[in-house]
Order: sequence, then structure tokens, then C-alpha cells
Amino acid sequence: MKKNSLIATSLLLGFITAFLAVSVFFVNSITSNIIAKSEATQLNSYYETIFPESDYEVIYNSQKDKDKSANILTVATASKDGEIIGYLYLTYTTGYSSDVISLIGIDKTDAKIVKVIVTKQSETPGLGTLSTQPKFLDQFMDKVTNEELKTKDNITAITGATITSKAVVDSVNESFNDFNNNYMK
Amino acid sequence: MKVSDIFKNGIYKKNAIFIMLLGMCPTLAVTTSLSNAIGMGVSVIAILTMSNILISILRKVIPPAVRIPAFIGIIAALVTVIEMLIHAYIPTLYISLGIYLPLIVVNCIILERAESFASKNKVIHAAFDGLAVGLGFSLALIIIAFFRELFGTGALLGFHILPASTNMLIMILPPGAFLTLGILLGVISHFTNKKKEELENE
Repeated sequence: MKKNSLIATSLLLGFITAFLAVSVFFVNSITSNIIAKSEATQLNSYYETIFPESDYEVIYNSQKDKDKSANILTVATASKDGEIIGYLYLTYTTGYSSDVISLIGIDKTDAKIVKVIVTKQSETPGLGTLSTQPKFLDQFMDKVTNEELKTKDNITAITGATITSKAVVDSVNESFNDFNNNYMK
Repeated sequence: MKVSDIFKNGIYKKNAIFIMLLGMCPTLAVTTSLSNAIGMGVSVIAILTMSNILISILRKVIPPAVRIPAFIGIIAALVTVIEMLIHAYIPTLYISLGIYLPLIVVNCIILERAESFASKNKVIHAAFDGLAVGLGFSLALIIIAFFRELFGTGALLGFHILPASTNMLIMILPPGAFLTLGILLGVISHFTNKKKEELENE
């Protein structure tokens, strides 16, 4: 290859990749806000199923604050008539093949779980994906925060998806710990 | 070049999975259920058609010496942009297809079609080729997923067909993917070999 064409080719490739980078940047700058917004409304609708008709306020965000366990992404309060009725923990733990993100709602007055929702996972279809089903998640209802949950004692793991089940249990224990240390009366 | 030949080649004569053995990684990974196979298939048809069109338009601009890095860059940027657009504007579609799109970036079928077809042919033919190869890929995924979901969970698309006692957990785990693919490849080459022998004997 001649020296001239070598330079020309490299420049052209550089130009192509630069153009691609700029177009990805451009699309990202348009869409990132919309994506963040739609994810926030999605999360709000999950809040709504746990503590209906309440006002929610995010009091901890792991992107800004660092004083909680790394597994806790956000903590939000749910309040009715200006009084806090419960806490909503968004946590992540590593499952079998993906990060399992679960939302745990804890009632403030009796320190019990109201509901657990697995909001995001890409575990093995037919096995780990069963972790989003009520059959597994309903077991967590009414568990008290000073109880340590274990897949062999008080929670029945999903057959063939022990690691995914354990990931959800770990998430719940993590939020129990934090609740007991910070918000328990 | 005849359009019917493009479709024949893409769908069965040179089927990406069963004949060319391309794109094995997503094939083995996502065929645990029919709905996964359909989701992956639809995503590949859409991305492959678009990337073929784009590469074909740019085929005279891209210098031959650096075509491979240019193709990889174009495909990766295209998939990323589409993923972000779907995530922002069609969130319901993103929930069902979102996990497949990042897998497509590393799917060698897309690069293979760009290199061996789209970079040498007219835009319209490249578009048909993307559609045809994508359809062939989807068809193969659906066949593999059909057997894996049926024997692994006793259900198809979530509807229970076989009693739970016949479920073989191994079929929806990684070994089941290799077993199913191996048996299917064996059956297919049995028939293609038979055809060849018949032709030789005549």
C-alpha cells in the first residue's frame, strides 16, 4: 500500500468512527432524560402497589450518598397526611446470570414486610424467572425485620433456582439490617 | 440475482444455524423458551435488515482495507442507537426485546452478511438478504426452543401441554441446548446426505 493511500484510509476510518461516536452521543443526549423519566414513573407505579395512595420521597440515592451498604440503590419513604408509614428499599444482588433488582416495602409501625417485588432480572427462563411470581414472593409477606431470613428455614427456595432465591433473600436481609439500624423506633 | 434465490439461500439452503453454524452463542443461550426465541428472532430480522441496508449504501465509501473495523463500528452504533430509541419511545417493546438487543452486537451473522453480501450487492437485494437470513435464523431458533421448552417445562409459550412428571430440567439448562442442537444437526445432515447420495447414484 502506498503511503498516501495509507494515510487517506486511516483518516477515512477515523472519520467514520468519529461520526458513529457523535451519532451515539447525540441519540443518547436526547433519550437519556426520557429513559430516566419513564423508569421513575415505572418505579412509582411499583411504589403505588405496595403503599397505595401515599406520597413518596427518595431519602437515599446510592449515586449521591454512600453511607449505606452497596446493595442498597435507593430508599424512599411513603407517607400519608404528612406522616411516614413505611420505607421502600430498592436493592440489587447478583443472581445466577444477572443482577436481581428487588423492591422491598417495610411498614414502619409494626416493622413488617408489606410486599416484595422483583423489578428487574434476566435469570434462566423457566427457573430463575419464577422469582417474579407471587408463589415465591408471597412468602415474604408479614416477615418481621428482626428475623433473619434463610432459604432453608423460613423461605422455600424455587426448585432449580436456589441462587436466584438466595439473591432475593439477601436483598431482603440487607434492607432489614438497614431498617433496624436507622428507622426502627 | 433473483430475489427468490436470496430467500431460498437465507431460509434453508444456507440456513445460518443449521447449515452455516453461525451465531451459536445466542442460539444456545436464548432458546430456553419459545417466547425468547421469537423475541430474539424478531430483533435479529430488524437489525440485520437495517445493517445490511446501511452497509450496502456505504459500500462505495468504505475503503476495502479497513472494511471490517468499519462494519463492526457501524453495526455496534446501529444496535446501540436502536436500543436507546426503543427504550425511550416504546418502553413496552423494550421490556420484551430489551435483553436481546445487546446480544446482537456480538452476533457474527450480522457481520458475516455485511462482509459477504451487503458490501457487494445493491441496497434492495441487501435488504431482502437481511430479511431472508433473519427469517432462517428465527425459524431455527423456534425449532430448537420448541423442543427445549416442551421437554424441559412441559409447556409451550407458557401453556402446559405435558404432565409435570415428564419434565427434564436438563433441557432448559445449557447441556440441553447442546443436546438438542446436536440431534437436530444430525437429523438434518442425515437427510441432506441421503439427497446427495441419490444424486450421485443417478
